[in-house]
Amino acid sequence: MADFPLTFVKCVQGRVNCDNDPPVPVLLCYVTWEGTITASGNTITLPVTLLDGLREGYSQISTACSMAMTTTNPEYASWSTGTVAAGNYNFYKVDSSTGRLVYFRYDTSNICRGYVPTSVTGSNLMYNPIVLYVNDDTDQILPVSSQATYEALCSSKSTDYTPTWVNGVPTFIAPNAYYKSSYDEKTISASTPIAWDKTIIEPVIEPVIETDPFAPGGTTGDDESESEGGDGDFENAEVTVDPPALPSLSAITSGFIAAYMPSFSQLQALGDYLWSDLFSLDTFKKLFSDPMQAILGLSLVPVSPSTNEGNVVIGNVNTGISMPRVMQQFVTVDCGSVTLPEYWGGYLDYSPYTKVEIYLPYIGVRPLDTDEVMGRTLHVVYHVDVLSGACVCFIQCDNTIRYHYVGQCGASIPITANDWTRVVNGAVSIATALGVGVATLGAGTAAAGGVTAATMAGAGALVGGVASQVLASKPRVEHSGSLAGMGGLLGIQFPYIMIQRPRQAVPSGQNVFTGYPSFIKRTLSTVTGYTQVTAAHLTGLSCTDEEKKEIQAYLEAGVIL
Amino acid sequence: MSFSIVLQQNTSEDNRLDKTLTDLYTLEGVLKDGTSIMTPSVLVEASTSSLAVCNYATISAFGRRYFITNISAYRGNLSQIDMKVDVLSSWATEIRNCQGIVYKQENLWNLYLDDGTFKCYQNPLMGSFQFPNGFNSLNYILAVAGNTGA
Repeated sequence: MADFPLTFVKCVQGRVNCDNDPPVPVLLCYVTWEGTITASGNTITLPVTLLDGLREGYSQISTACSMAMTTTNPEYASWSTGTVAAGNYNFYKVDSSTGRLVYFRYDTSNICRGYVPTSVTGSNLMYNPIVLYVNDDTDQILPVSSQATYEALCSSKSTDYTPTWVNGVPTFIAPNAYYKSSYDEKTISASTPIAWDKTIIEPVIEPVIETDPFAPGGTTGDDESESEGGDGDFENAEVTVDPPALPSLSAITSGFIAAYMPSFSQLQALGDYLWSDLFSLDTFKKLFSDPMQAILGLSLVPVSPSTNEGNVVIGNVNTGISMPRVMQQFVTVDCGSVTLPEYWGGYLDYSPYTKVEIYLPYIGVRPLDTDEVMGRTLHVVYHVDVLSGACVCFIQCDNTIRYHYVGQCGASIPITANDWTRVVNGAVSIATALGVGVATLGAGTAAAGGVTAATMAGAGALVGGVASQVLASKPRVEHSGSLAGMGGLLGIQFPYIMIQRPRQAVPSGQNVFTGYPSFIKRTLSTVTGYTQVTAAHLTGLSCTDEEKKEIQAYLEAGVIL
Repeated sequence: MSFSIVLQQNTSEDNRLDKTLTDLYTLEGVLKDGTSIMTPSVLVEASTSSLAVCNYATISAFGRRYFITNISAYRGNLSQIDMKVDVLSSWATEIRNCQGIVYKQENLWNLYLDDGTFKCYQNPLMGSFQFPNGFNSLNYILAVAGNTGA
């Protein structure tokens, strides 16, 4: 028997479902062929030798027939003496270097359709995919095609079927009818390439295995001699971390203390009451020998907690003075969001070239990591305790809180001599707290007690210096001390960001003369203009070795393509 | 060996692959003595003054193009032309088919790579951004012992 001059490039397991019979496992073999497929008019003709091979064992084949594929039946190659419409057809191609199926083109209808006529005259139908039945006992692959003589493989039925295509592979064949041939079974000889190579029964569309360990999903190797690293998960996950909820328990709700938010006139009225004859010590509770002991503190806070109206009660003595009572100890102040845009759109927008600081009310100026905040939206939220005046500032960068700072936004108002001393001493200590007037050199060298001028060898070389040199020569200066308490009240009441960016010195058209940083793999025909290449693979040149070295040197020094 | 040399004028940069050339003279002859194909030196019968404007040459027999490095005048209207192969122009097509890591490019770049290309002035740019909200109220808080008695 003649060999099938076909190359089975893809074998997919499928099933033929039949009405009353169990599903029959079949191989769906997509074929390609060597030789030129010619098109004449609306007919596509395969090489004659192929036709000869296929004709063998089949009857009723017209010598003038051609293996044609129609646009309405894209997967269906039929011998037909008629003409078929021109159009797109499905072809497969095996990449000669990898042996993999690398091309699969669908017809727009993407339907694999086949049918069996009730009678076959004048034409024989051979489907592509050619449905084959594997006989494991005899190791024969038997074609199943429709023929005039029907032998039951399953019930006769003419039904269009639509496979489910997954990545170009049909995964399921709906009910269809295939007839076992009545002619001699065709044996596929051993010389037919990969005809029964069951290693390709599984879909051959395989992921490309990266040999570069730094490509996502790259391998690291098991052997000790293999390269290491490059086994990160390449997953840059970021969780959302929002400012926490305010505490549910507070001193105010404990019942042991109460807080009021008096107006100026109300405060004056209370003071008048305490120093008047209206205040009767006899009615004062025994816990206190001094009415001032019942007043725990008076402060100024820059927030407005929720209140209820009522009379101020001191030591269970109702003063009869109307004063809003504070109902919440903890208050949130949302300062809003600011998006920090890149200026240069490059590395100069990031550390260490660009510096970012933030002024926070009641805290002071704090440095921010430029790499963390550049290009992100910063959201500032304060949580304030109105009783103690303590506050926590959250700085959220996009979805995650990355900075927390503690401050003091309540300013105590002294109401006793002890209070006065404490407040004044506190203000003095704040002014001399660490962080005031300390300057450090930008390169991380600390200078105590002031700014030290940068000393660098060859200072003249800094003229037009590169960004890193400019940075290293500049001292870093703190912009504020602690702004707590009354100091904070005297300060700016809204946050703002200060940013220092390098001023780039770029000659007009610098990229034409020196190029800009790139670092990508390219075929040199895909780039134009000034180009510097490192590690070029100079293949396909029939020049001398000396010329090749000179070319390499030119490419590394820069050429104009 | 039949030999043809086209003397040209090159106005392009040495490191440009495709040179802008103007053909000036085509000399035909026979190569009498041996010469290197990378640094050929040929003696031609032509006045040096007319050859003085030539700075480039193409020798088809060698399949290469050349920079003219020197022209020497000899007696008898003879001139010696010394040349050096222009590897970029000679192998321009093959070079373009090669692959490599491009680390500086005129039109294709990644400005997030810091390779020290760019210089900066000593006076930086100062900017600021204000948040939309802040602390916009001020209140007394009076804390007293005991409950409200309510």
